[in-house]
Amino acid sequence: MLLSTTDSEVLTATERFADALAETKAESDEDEFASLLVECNEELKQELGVDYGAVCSDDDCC
Amino acid sequence: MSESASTDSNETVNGQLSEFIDAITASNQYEQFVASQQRLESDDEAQRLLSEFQQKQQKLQENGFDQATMQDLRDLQRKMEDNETIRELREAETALVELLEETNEIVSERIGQEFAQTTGGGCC
Repeated sequence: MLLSTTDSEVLTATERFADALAETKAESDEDEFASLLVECNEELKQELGVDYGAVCSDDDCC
Repeated sequence: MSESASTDSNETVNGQLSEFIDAITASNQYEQFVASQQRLESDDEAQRLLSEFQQKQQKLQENGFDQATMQDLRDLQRKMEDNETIRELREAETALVELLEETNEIVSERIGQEFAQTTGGGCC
């Protein structure tokens, strides 16, 4: 039986992703990293069917 | 930094991004969200209420304050609160948003800047 992931598993995957991004940031210039963040957000939006950026961003548009 | 190091780094990010996405889509919150959206698709009454509510909101935005439209909106909100499909959808959305916001906090703190980016079009 396939079980849903728990919150802790999501958070573990989040931390691993965050670590990978942090490492890349240290090796990239500002513009490159900014582009990477946009790409990641687009990927999340496409795969989740939810606009991750709009849901979570500080832009209080709603 | 060498080109190969940059490529390796991006591949690591891509790999971890995929796992991050997989973890979210396998979460209870996401599954409930998807299930509630599917229930909405098969609930004509719920769809009608939501559609009517959005139309009234748009009318209010276009024409300014209007007592009758405000009353209609309040009535619709009450009906929507009584509609189980809409209530469950809203609960599922709230739970998923909370989870996503938590992930954004973790990533943003780790990289020292805001991770979530609006990609145009606004959220509304």
